Amino acid sequence: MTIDDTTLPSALRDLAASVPDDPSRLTSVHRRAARAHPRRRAVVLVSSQHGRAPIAAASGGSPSTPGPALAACPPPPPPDQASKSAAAVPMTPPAIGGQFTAGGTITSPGTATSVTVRVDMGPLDGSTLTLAVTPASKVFLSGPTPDAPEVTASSTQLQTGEGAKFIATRTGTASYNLDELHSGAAAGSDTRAPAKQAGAPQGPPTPPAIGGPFKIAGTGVSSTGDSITVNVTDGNLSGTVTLTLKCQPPQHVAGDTVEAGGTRTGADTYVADVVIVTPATP
Amino acid sequence: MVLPLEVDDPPSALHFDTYVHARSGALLRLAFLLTGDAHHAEDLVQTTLVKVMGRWEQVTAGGDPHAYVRKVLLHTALGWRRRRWHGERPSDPLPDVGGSPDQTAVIDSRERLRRALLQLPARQRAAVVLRHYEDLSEQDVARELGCSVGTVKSQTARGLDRLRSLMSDEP
Repeated sequence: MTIDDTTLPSALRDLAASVPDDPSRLTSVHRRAARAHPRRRAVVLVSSQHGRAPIAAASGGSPSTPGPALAACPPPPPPDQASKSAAAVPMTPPAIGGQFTAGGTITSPGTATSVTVRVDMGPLDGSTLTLAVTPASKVFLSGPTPDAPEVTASSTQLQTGEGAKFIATRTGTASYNLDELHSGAAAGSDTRAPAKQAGAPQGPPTPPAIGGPFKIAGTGVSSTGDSITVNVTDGNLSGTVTLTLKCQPPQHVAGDTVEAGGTRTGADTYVADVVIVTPATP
Repeated sequence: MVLPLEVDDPPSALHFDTYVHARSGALLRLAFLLTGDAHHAEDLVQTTLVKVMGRWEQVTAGGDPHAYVRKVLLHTALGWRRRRWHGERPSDPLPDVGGSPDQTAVIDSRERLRRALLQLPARQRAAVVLRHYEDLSEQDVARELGCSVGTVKSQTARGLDRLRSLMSDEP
């Protein structure tokens, strides 16, 4: 057999054509890909606040793993648009008798009867509110360290310049009752995010302050069109919580492992920025 | 804002499957020429497809993905050759091959070519295969291999000379 420029191509084609094809290749490829990249599905990813990085997947695949480990909602709008859109709904003043959540900075030392807060987050953004302290009002101060749990306090312990996140009820045109206030960190910061401490005594986790971040893992219980209920087994929440989602959750989550992160928006309300649902059975 | 969120079914999955059905045979044939072994070739093709599957949307963003996939396959094969020795050493006598005399001659020719190819250095073999099997221009081969056109010319010429020598030496 002679080899030259004219005979070599046909000889190579003939040799190449002799290799048997594998009809199950596609299945094998999918199987290998599944082994290489652990199954993940039904991920809701919303960057609800500009500048806050979405909480990463808590287990399994690495950040550099190629492929759609996370499905994302459209990216957040640019900062100016984000602030406008974020302000659009919360800026609506609450109706008289309505409860609302907001954050801001304490502008004068608290007294036994009132607390004054300049609001920079939530309804009435930009205004200074005097919140009436009632016997039902609850005040919490952050501990001596960022990781320390909050402690119950009196409104007289509130200091000018402290950040505050609070729940209040509008009782009149310009009057508000304080329901719950968490203070001790700069407004809008996450410095009071609870964290696990090695060797710390086990007990129910301290939930984040309203406006603070949460991160949990647990077992899915149920889901609706815009929420998912999770039986929490780890993280800074406990019990069974319902998370509001900004993307559609999977229809079936019962028994699945759920990891989620987001923001506490009220006494019993949470908005998830990220939810990862890993099926119980691959 | 509501989006479908089943990661198990990425939107480009259909296109990937279609590509595999349509073009993986061509990839396999190329892989066979590069490795000289049907099992290694199949492994090489599957490894390549798994690599590109995860970023299929980017792969297809520029149009026909075949050139990109072929390049991934090529570099995966060259990487394999650097990392491990596959253990095949051609022996002098050819194995007995059944079939009619005509078929025997055809199979014999194929086998001699396969064994001759295997004796070329990996990059030289890749240059010869891309140039004479894939029918790429010297510029395209240089781009695929990440070397100069001059290198492609010399590698191809040396590869051809070596093949001629090996084929003429075979009984």
